[in-house]
Amino acid sequence: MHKLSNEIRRQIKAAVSYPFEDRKTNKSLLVQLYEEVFFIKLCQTCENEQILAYIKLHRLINPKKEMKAPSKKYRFKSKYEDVVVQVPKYRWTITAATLTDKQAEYLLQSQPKLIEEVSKGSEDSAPVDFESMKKAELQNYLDEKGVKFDSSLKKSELVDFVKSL
Amino acid sequence: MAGCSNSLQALDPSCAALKQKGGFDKRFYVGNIADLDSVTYGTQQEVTAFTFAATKGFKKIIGKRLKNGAETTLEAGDNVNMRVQNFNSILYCQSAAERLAVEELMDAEDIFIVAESNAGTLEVFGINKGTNSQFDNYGLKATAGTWNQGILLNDPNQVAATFSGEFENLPLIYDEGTALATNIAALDAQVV
Repeated sequence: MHKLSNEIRRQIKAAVSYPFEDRKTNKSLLVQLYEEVFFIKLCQTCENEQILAYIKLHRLINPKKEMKAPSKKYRFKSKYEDVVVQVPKYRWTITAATLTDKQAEYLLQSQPKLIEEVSKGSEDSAPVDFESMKKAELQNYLDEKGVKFDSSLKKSELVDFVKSL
Repeated sequence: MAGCSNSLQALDPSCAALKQKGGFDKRFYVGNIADLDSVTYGTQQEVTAFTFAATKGFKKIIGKRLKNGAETTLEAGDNVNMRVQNFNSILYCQSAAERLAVEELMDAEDIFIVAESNAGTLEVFGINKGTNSQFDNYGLKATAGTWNQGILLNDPNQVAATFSGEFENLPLIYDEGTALATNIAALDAQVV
């Protein structure tokens, strides 16, 4: 009988809790692929843990395809942060914490009131006081927005630049 | 119960809940689960929006006041307890077109219903709010139907149809933060 170590179990739990675009995992395919990878015969008692182990493996092999990082470009409007949208066609369960760019683009088509671009700011958010920010903070702010800027700019020039966006 | 724990909530019903009326309006909306692109859920047991695929939408069914009803029963299982939602409608038909509408409703599988209750809420039957699978794995279908054409002149001549299905939840409420008239207008706008 193949038994999994505690460390593998811990890693599997962490992997399973990660936002995963395709929530409807093909169990039979996983079992088949798992056998191919590990060359072991599945037993009833440890089948579920082996499948989870394969999910972990599969995600490690295909990180970009499967692990869609939450969007930095879009977000739920603060009023709708608790909303959950289920889209069966893609097996998506969209939440504010797991929103991806692809999901945001879908919602902009079907329910635009839920979503806003991060750069546009929340309807409820207070305006940013750029004058009171330090130069490094301004540079970090621009980095987070993905805006290219000349690093030799002085603070006053950075303030003018960020205001002009 | 390693890995599972109960999640309990306090319950102190509002006056509205304690004094809510029973029964439903004469009109209800029926949609196909397969025609839904997405369902948007609010916090707790609430649906805030249905998004249909292009050209798809609700069909509006109109009967009589104080004829439609519903009950939901708990079905205990070894691993999970399901809720069996039943929407009991009274349909009226005479012409060929009206009969066809009833026929198609009788044969439909995986439908959902939104009905205005006499308590002033819009009740959503047939939509599952689950954690392990999406709503398209669930739905209502006609499980009982009788067209009683009567004997006497003043006997009822109507079709009693029940739509049932198993779900993880009781009927959901439709967008409770919005005025009833606004919600009805939104549903009417999705009628095709």
